[in-house]
Amino acid sequence: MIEQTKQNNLIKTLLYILTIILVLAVLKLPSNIVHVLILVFFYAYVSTAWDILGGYAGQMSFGHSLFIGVGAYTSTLLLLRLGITPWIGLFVSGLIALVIGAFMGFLCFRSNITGFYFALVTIVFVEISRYLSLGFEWTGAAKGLYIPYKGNNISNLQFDSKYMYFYVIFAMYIGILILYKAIMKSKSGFYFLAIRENEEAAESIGINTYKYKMLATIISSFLVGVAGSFWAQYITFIDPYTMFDFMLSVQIIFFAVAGGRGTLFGPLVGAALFVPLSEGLRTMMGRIAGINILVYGIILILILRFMPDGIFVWVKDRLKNLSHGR
Amino acid sequence: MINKNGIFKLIILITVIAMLGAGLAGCAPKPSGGADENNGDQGEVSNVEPVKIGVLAPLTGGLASIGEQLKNGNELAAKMINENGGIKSLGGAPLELIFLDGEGRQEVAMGEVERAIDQEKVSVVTGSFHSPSAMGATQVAERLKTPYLIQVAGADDITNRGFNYVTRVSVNLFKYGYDAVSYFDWLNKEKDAGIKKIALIFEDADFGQSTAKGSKEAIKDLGFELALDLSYPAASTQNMTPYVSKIKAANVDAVIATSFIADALLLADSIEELGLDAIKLGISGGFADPLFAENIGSKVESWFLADNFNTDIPGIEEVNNKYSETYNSKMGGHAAHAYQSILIIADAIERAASRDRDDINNALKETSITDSSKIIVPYKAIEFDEKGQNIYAEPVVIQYQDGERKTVFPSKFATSEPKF
Amino acid sequence: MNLTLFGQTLVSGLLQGGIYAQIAMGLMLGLGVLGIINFAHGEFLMIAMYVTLIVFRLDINPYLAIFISFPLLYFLGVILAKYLIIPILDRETMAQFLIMIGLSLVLMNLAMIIFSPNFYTVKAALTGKTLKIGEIIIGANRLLGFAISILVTGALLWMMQKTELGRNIRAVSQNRYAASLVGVNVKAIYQIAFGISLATLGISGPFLTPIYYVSPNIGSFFILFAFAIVIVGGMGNFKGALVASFLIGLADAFGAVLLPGSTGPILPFIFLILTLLFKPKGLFGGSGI
Repeated sequence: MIEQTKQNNLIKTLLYILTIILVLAVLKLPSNIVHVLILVFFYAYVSTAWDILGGYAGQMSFGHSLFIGVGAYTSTLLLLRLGITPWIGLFVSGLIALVIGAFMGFLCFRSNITGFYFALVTIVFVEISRYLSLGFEWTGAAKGLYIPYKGNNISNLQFDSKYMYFYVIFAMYIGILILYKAIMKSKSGFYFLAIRENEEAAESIGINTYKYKMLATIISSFLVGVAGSFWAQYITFIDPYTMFDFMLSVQIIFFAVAGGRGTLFGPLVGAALFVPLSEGLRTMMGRIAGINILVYGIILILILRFMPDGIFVWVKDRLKNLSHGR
Repeated sequence: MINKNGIFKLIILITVIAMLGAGLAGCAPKPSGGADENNGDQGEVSNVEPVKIGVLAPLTGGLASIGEQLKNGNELAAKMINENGGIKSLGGAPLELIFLDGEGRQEVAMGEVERAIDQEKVSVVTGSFHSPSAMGATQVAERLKTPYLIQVAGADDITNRGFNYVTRVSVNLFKYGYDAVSYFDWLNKEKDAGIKKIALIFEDADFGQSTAKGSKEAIKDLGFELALDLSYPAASTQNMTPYVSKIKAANVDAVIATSFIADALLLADSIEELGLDAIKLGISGGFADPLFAENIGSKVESWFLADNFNTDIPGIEEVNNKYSETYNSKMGGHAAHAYQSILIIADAIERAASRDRDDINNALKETSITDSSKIIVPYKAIEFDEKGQNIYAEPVVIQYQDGERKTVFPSKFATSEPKF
Repeated sequence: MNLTLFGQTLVSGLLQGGIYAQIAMGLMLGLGVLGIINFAHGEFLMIAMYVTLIVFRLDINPYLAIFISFPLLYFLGVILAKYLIIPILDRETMAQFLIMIGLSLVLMNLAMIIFSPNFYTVKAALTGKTLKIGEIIIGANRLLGFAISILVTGALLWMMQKTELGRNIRAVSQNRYAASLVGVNVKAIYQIAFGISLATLGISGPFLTPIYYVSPNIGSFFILFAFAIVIVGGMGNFKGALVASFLIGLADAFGAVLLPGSTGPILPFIFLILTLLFKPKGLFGGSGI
């Protein structure tokens, strides 16, 4: 036992050192690769946040692009109209996303709308938001908003190199990992799982399922709202069609489900495998429009059909079998 | 013996390595649309160091057919200039075009432009069809202090942001909308059309909203009555009859429509079906697309179409022939603007006598081309205002008459009389 | 809003509703019997429309495409049911739904690769013909589409109520174990039901193509409305779905006329959310099938 702990600690330390080296090595990478890494960690973050509601508490939300959009719009509007720094905007964005998430949750969970019905309502919410956001001049209407470049300035969350954006999103990802782990270990996390496995049974042992579904929703929407702000700062241009987009929601879910729903690293595995794959596919086969999404679709079907718990769990099981020497 | 926890850690390790590996493999410098493949035919190579120009176009993806036309226009112009001795003030330096594939995706376009400026060290960037890509790419160029000449992307904000390094050859959306109404004013004055009440119907993305803004302002300025102001979401409108019924009920004299191709077809069908009796003008986009005329057949003759180019414009035969010879297809507005842009850039570099980005930018902003033999787009001159917009860029109004695309307005370029 | 505009909008909404009904009926059958949320339903309509386009391009009357699209979609349905859908019926809803989204992406992008993202139109004998009732004008193509829709719905109802097959389908959808005990081949019924579910689109395709246009994403225009109809009408309630189709069609048309800007499509969605809040089983109650 002691031997094992020692070995564990050694592996742990080695891993930490290796991670640090790799993270520092990013500085040496060309900017287009850093861009892909930013995408990887952005999607890993958002998918992890989705996973709290979708994977862990089992509520199938297709509305997470709405939260990204709301977050992006909130901080950008605060910055452009009121001159408030995005660092504050990040939290306000999270809060506004939380309020919208809570409203959505209130509507659905009060009336016991779950499963497919919940999914449909969330899709409809995204659609409605897009139509509404098109109509207001104040939110930039259809042409969207852009964040003017004001120079390398940490207080504006604006950098002239991609590396800093990478470190920001990396830090955010580490943050959400810690939070996710804390939720997994907490009583709420246990209740989330109970709801996912069998809602009626959970209710019968006295769990207030409404309360815990709401809790999962607001945590998830808050975290995604924050990510939306980051995205707006990084991409510097947002509009209703790219923000309130059904396909964006599907992508978020895809990374979590492909990697491993309800697991700590599943979303990262999904994003780390499929963001570069998709970018690579576009580079290699871009002349054929649609081929990358076609491959996405095929992989989605295959993974769900043959690795129901995602790649992460599938590989873990294989490794376990190996180490136990069947 | 590794326990469960250890496996977890191992997985992180594998993930991180896989991620970096995949990242490296997937995103190594792009071969497609890159330099080697596309820069083959730009005329003789001289021994003077060339001037590098980055050309952004959607060479792959859904907009690839437009990207192809842009590429051809740019390439042909560079070839002609190089064959005529390149940039004389730089000792005959040839132009070298570096094609950047933006894929019609904003983030890709931004990345490519950044790469061209940082790594390829281009002196100027030009191109763009897809407005969101152009918005993002100009932002990159402004930050990196590199002149950017927009060829056809129409969004008003590309120049309205007051960037120092951005100029645009073609018509912007506001102007399209404004001049559609000016055309009606001209019809009233010259042809007794008797137009008073106008209805606007436009798709609800930036394209439609911006043209509508222009039209509304002109309606106010020129004393028309705005009877209806309708917008619809192009991506989810399958039934245009309610909108057309509403226009019909409003008893208008004329309709201005801004649509993409699918909704333009549905709109034209519904107008026909409900027998709407009004003068109809469609702005660029779906209406300018050859598919529009192809699909709605002879009904197309009842439409006026606003576009930035027509092949019957006098004085372009030579370029036109050369283009057809080289590329086996007819030159369209995209290719013509691309061709024109390279001429403008060459003119600016000639005057600047420098490869320096700021020098070229200053020369570019002082452009004044009035010699009509150097202009193949339907603008009487090329000069940029303080925001970088070409002052003389105006749309032409086209009508299909006996199966041919005839220019009917403005008079300077007209080859036929409007029929209504 | 004057009377003519009101009448015209009413007619246009009802006709549109009829078109939605054709699409919703098949969706309902798949949902009611197999319990599968077929997000790719619209893409099968797209396939039928491309078949129509090909037939039209061969200079054959596009309506005749029905003789290809109907059997083609039936067999596609049977095969898909056998190899993709029946094996996942025991999985949780989320996995099923995502697989169907994956299928939708695959079909859509396959069409894009094969046929390019361009739009194509098909002209039929009735294109451009209209019918005038007082001040109200009705497009002949739409009217035909509407008539076909009512026919398809009627035929489905008749099949479910009066035929041996229909009785078996209902038995399986109500209790598959009981049905298998009395000797019904559940798997075969599943395949047939899903085949029919798609085959209805094989009928719709040739009649809808002349009204719209063909493009790879045409299916996605209809799918949300079709889901809304199934829910508003009540899961498994064919007559309810027919009424719901008209309600959604009317909400769509009146939304376009009454709501400002391009917020028109919100009206059907609000209608859906209100239904879910106050009548979660649908306006007319879910009856099973």
